[in-house]
Amino acid sequence: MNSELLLAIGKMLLVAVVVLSFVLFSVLYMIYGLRKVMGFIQARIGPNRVGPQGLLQTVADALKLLQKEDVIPEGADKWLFTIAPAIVFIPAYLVYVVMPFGDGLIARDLNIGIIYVSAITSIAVIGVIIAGWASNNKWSLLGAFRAAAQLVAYEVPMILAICIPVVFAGTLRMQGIVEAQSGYYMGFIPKWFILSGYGIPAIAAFIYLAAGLAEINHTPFDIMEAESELVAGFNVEYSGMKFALFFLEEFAASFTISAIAVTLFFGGWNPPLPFLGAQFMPAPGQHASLLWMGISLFWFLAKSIGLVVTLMWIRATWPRVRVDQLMNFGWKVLIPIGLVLLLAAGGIVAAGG
Amino acid sequence: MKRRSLPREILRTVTSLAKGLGVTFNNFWRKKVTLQYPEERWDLPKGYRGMPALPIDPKTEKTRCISCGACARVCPEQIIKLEFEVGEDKKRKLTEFTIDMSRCMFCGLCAEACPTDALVMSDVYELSSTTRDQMVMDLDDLNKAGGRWPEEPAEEKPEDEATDEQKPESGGVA
Repeated sequence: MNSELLLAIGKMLLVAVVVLSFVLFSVLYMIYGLRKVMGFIQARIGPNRVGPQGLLQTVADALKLLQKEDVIPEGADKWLFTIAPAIVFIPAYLVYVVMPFGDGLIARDLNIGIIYVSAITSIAVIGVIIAGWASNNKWSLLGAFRAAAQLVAYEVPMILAICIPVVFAGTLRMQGIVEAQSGYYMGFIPKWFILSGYGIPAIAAFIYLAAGLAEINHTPFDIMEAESELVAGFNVEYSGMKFALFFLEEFAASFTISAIAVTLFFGGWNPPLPFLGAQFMPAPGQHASLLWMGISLFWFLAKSIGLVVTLMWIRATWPRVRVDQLMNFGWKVLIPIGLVLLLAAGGIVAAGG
Repeated sequence: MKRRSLPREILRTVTSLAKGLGVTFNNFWRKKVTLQYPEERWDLPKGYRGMPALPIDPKTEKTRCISCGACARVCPEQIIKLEFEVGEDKKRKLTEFTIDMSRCMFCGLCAEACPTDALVMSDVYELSSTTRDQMVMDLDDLNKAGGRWPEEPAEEKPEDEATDEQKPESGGVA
C-alpha cells in the first residue's frame, strides 16, 4: 500500500513539474512572440540580440528581474504586498490541472472540469485587488477598483458563454466536451461547436473571447492597468521577481483563455480535417496510442498558439475602451445576448437537435 | 452628431474593427524600417554637414590650408583656433588647428568661408567622447576625419589669392 502511495505521489510531482515547466517555457516564448509580433506590426524587427534571433531575450530579462532589488514601499502592507503576486500566479498554474492537452494527456479529468476552471481563474482577481490595496498607492488602488468592477461585470457573460458548449456536450468534463466535438459533417467539416448548433456556439465563442480578454485584462479591456491613465495600474509598486510573477500570470492567463476557448469551441485536440491525424483516433473504449497522443497534443497546441497570436494581433491593433463603455458592453450587451443564447441552446437540445 | 440605427452602428463597429486588424495585418509583412546601427549605417545625403575637417590633398600630400584664418573669423561660436609660422618664402605654414567640437553647431560657415576648400564638412557624425578634452579636435584628428580629398585632382587654385589683409602676424592665434 505504501509503495502505491509513493508511486501516486511521485506521479503527481512529475505531472506538477512537467506542467510548471510547460507554463514557464510557454510564457518565456509568448513574451518573445508578443514582442516579435508587435515589432513586425510596427515595422520594427523586435528583439534579435540575445541568442539566435533573440530567442534568449526573455531568459535574460527574467535573470535580470531575479537579480533586482525587491522594493517594498514605505507604508505598504508588507504581508499582503508579498503574498499578492503568489495569489495571482498560483491560480494561473492550477488551471492547468484540467487542461486537456491531448487524448489522455490531462492531469486530472475532473467531472466538473470547466466549473473548476472558471472558479480558479477568478481567484486571480483577489490577488490583483490585494496588490492594489497593499501598495498604498493611489494608482494601484484605482487599478484594483477597476479590476473588481470589470471582473464582476465580465464573469457573468463568461460563465453564460461557457454554459453553451456544456449544454451541447451534456457534460462538464473537459475531455467529455472535446470528445463531443470529434467527428466530421459530410466527412470533412469538423464537428467543432463553433461550426455546429446553428451558429449559437459561434456567438458564444465571441462572447467568451470578449469576456476572456476582459478577465485577463488584455487589450482592448486593459483598463485596470491603463498605462496612459494609471501609470501601470495595480502593479506600479512592484519590482523584481514579484513583478515578474505578475507578468508571468498575465501571459499564462492569455494562454489559458486561448486553450479553454479551443477546448470549448474549436474542437480541443481534434484535427481540423479527417486526414490530418484523425485516422489514428482509437475506437471508443480503447486506449489512446502514443502516436495519437502526440497528434492530439500537436493539434491542441497549434490551435491554442494560433489563438494566442490572434490575441497579440488584437493587442497591437485595437485601442482601449473607456471604463463606462466597458461596463455598458458587459452588462447591456454581453449578458443579455448570453442569456438569449443559453435559452436557444437549451431549446435546441431539448428539441433533440 | 447624427445617430445611426442600432444595426448600422453594430455593422460599423464590426467593419471598422476588422479594418483595423487588416491594417496591422498588412503592416506585419511590410519591410522593416529598423536600422541596426553599428552594423548598418545610414546612407548620408549629398552635402551632409558632419564634423568640419581638413582633408589631405592627394596631389600635394598636405592640407590645402593657407592659414588665412577666415574660418576662425567667421565661426559664430569662435571655436576654431589656428597657429602658423611664416616661412622663408613668406608663406604661412600651419602648425596647429583646433576645433572644439563640443560647441560646434554644424552651421558650415567655416567651410563656406574657406578660400581654398581646405576646410570641408566631412561625413563624420560619431563624435561622442567621455571627456570634454577629447572633444577638442587637433590638426591630426581633423586630417583623419577629412581623409584624402578631392579624389581626382581638382584644378589648381593660385595660392596667393587668399593670403590677404587683416591677419595677425606670425605665430598669431586667429
